[in-house]
Amino acid sequence: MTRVIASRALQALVTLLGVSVVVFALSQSTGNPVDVLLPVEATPEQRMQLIDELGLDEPLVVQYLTFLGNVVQGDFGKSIRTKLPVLELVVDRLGNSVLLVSTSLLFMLVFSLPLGVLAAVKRDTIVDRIAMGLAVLGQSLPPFFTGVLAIIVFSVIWQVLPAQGSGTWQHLLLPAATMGLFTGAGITRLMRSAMLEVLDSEYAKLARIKGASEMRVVWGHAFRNALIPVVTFVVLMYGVLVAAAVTTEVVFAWPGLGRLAFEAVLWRDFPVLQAVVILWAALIVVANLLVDLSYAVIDPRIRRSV
Amino acid sequence: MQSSTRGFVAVSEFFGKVRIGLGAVWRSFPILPLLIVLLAVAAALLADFIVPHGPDALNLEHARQGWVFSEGGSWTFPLGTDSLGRDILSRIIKGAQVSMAVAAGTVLLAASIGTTLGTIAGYFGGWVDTVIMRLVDGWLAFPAILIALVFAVTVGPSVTVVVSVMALILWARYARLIRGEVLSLKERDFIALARVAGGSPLRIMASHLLPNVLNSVIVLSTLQVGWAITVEATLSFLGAGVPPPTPTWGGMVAEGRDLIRSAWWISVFPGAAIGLVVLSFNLIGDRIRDLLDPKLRAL
Repeated sequence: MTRVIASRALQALVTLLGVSVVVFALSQSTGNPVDVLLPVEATPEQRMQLIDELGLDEPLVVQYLTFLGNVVQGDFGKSIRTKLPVLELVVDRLGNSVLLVSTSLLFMLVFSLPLGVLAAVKRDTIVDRIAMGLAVLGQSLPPFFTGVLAIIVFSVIWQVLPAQGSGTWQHLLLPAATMGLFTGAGITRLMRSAMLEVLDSEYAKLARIKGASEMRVVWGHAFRNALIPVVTFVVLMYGVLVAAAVTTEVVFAWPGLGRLAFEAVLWRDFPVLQAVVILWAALIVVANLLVDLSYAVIDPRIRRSV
Repeated sequence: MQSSTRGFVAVSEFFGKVRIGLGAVWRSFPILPLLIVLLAVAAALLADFIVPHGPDALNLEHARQGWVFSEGGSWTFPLGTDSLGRDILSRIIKGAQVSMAVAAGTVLLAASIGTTLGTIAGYFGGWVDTVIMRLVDGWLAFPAILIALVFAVTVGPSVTVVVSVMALILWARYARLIRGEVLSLKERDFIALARVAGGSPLRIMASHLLPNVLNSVIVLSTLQVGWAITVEATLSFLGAGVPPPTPTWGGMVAEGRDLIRSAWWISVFPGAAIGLVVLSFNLIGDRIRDLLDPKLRAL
């Protein structure tokens, strides 16, 4: 078990190093920072001094290691636009993003999973058709468009929910539902096919023969086993989740990491963007690691194969 | 009707997998989505000939005119105009060009890279396989959209950048699928025989393995077109896609975002175009998968 944990943690570390190399390499192509930081009329002496201060005359490897060292210590430099330390900006927004993403996950849990189970149990009926229709529709509409539609319907026409901003639970509803619809649609479809497979298995048949009620077969036996591929899928979906979060936050002016990244793109504020990417990658890698390890704890068959 | 049905049956027989009656195929194939996709492709190919107005033509006295059935709307601008008085319909037609071109380019590029690497990983196994598949696992969990944003800021947005970044994201799905297929294929007798006959690895992969995985590549590709259109639109919406003044559907939604209270049509029509086309591609992809290769249903 210790070996498994160690090898997984090592993999996670390698992935993160890979991310840092990519980001550092790209930062090299943003142009000479001296041109950005100094006014045009700066003297050659001033330029030399800045180059010396920033360590720009060092070999690339040394520059990379310095960069890595700073990142590990939480020093991402200063924002080009606001001149504030990047870490402050990022930490400020992190909580809001976590709140939004977890609410949308909750939305998914409450609506998508039961809908997928229902569609499987009522296979080929009108309920199944409607559920699958909704799921395909949800998968096909990008969140930035459903967000716009939601604002038009709920804020402009019915005027029941606020269109933009944050602070109250009402502000959270539309963005979370928008994100949940997009990400939850895939979950519903997968849940349905996983349930169909499990309901057809030998142990589900045995449970029925033993006289277990259909309710018990579905929720007691089938549901938990059908969840395994779904959980794997959710992990693979982090990338999608991040994309959905960025556009959703932009549409609803939700002050999270995604909107920060968007603003950084608008202002060409590279240090901020760099920090968001690294932080997000770290979150994803750690979440992946935890899920992988929890598998190993839950399912002995997987424990041997990791 | 007959000729298109004949064409479809010919395709089915070519793949040798479909054994259902003509009537069943005809009834079950999604006609409406097919029409929408054909319409979008036609719009992309013929855009410059069929647009009623120049997509970039400013017309300030008609700025923010509503669509034809709203107050003050007219058939001159059937879907209304944006805040610079540009015709929304013409811009949607022209915008189809970027969507279709980027989607096609991305899927082709990703399919070539992913299929090649997947075949190599599956055929050689060992450490080659380990390295490639670790890379794949890493990619699949990566926040691709953020990498695209970084590229947009550092390299600057353009069609080439958008297609490369998207293909860079997508290839991993092909690699994973094809590797799995090759793993089981290479145990089959005809591959062993090819090896005994002295076929080089390159020859075995190119002329024995590739034709056998092509079916899966086609199925996966039809399923990914919708994804590609969505991501392109997302990048454009965020200002990291094909730069203005080229009209893009995602960019148009973004332009109208601040005006949805007063001029909803600026955002809603291009958004609806994205939704309809992606939905159609997804429905067709699902159908083609079920017909050609039901075992891929988990995709």
